[in-house]
Amino acid sequence: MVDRDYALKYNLTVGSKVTYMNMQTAYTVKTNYTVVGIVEVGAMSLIRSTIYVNLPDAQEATKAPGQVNIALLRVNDPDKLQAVSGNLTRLWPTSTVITALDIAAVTTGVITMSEQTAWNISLALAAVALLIGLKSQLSAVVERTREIGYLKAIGRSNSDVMGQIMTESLLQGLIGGLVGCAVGYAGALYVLLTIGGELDRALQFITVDPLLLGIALAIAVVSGVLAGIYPAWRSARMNPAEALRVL
Amino acid sequence: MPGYMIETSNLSKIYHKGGGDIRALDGVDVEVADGEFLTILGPSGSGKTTLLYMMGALDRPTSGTVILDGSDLSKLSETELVRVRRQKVGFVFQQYNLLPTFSAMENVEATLAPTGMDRQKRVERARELLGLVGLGKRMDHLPSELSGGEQQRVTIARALANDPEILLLDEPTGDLDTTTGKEIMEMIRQANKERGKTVLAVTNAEYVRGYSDRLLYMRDGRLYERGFSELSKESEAR
Repeated sequence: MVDRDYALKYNLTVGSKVTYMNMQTAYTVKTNYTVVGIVEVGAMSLIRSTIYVNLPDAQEATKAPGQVNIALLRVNDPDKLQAVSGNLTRLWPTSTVITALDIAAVTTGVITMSEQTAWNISLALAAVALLIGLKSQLSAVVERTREIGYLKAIGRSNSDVMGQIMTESLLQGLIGGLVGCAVGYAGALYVLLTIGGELDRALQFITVDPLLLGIALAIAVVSGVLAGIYPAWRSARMNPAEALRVL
Repeated sequence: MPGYMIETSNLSKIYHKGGGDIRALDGVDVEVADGEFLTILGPSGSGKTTLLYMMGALDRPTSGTVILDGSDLSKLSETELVRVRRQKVGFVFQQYNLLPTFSAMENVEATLAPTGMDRQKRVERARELLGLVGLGKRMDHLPSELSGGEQQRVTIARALANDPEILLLDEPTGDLDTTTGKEIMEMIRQANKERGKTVLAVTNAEYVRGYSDRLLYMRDGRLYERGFSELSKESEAR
């Protein structure tokens, strides 16, 4: 049997011929197989391969009779996992026994590291976004100097002007945060689909943590507000007569 | 004895620029009577706009006083100056200063927002004023969709929105052709006559003089009762 993606890539169907070439021996040994089925294995599966054959056939093709390179065992009672692991090591001292707990520990370590890295990157990006927001708001205030002067001429107070700029900044932060979350979700979906996942499974795989979403939006809004404080303060202090003279 | 809407006394404004001091106003004494239409003619840089901004509580003088409707502006706090601008003064600028993303209606209505007036009333008021300036059918248009004359009509409606005591016009016809400029001046004259608004216009357009009750001339920060050509002729005669 061949993997679905492999079959698609090489245009293989049931009945197609594939040749396995063993080049680890003194001379290349070719073994021909006929495809009898197409198999689909999850992208994240530990045993994912391209061609699946019966064990005796594989042993013959690889010239390794009676040998296996990996054995996947299922322990029915999780409490006996450590004991079974110990027995296996004693029976086959040269083998490496890896339990699900070992894999989980490594995976957890990787995930923790990834999460920490993601947080650090996110914080760095938030800081950059804050600076860009500040620059953007300052430019907007400079561009709108006459408008600010006019608003003051018709009786808007310093606090009115400051409130307006701050509100605009806050809304920009909120909209930016919402767009960022949507882009992040779409990006995660794209990555999963790119590595071979199905849409429905990918959608199940991506979980939206309400707390994380809230924190992300809060950071975006707070960044927006922080970026708006100085431009708003500058606008509020503008002398209306001078602002109106700006060309 | 007529009441004065505005009185200035020995009004001076000095700007401190890099190269030295610029005396924009130099001891200006002027009174504008209640309901009067006064035009100040003068070349660019003569101090007209500075004087207008002082009278409209947009700037503070270096020395001297401005009394607007009985209040000495130099003694008012920033909050009180905001109230003066909101309630007593309506500005018409040469460059319109309309909010570009707001329709004509919204531009007029926005002027009323800080007054706390109910939105429905604000809309009614804006509609009435835009009808008055002949924009009844174009009130939903953005400034970019209006001609210069129409935009200036919006600014007149906007200036009248708060029912101010005085209209301060800074080069109101500066960006308009003569025909449109005269239409605008007719409209302002109408507000002066029919609504009793005191009007002070500063301009360098000679034809504006025909709409005013009184004319003053400004040069180098000083006010004169006679034009410079007349003064030159007198000087030559002597």
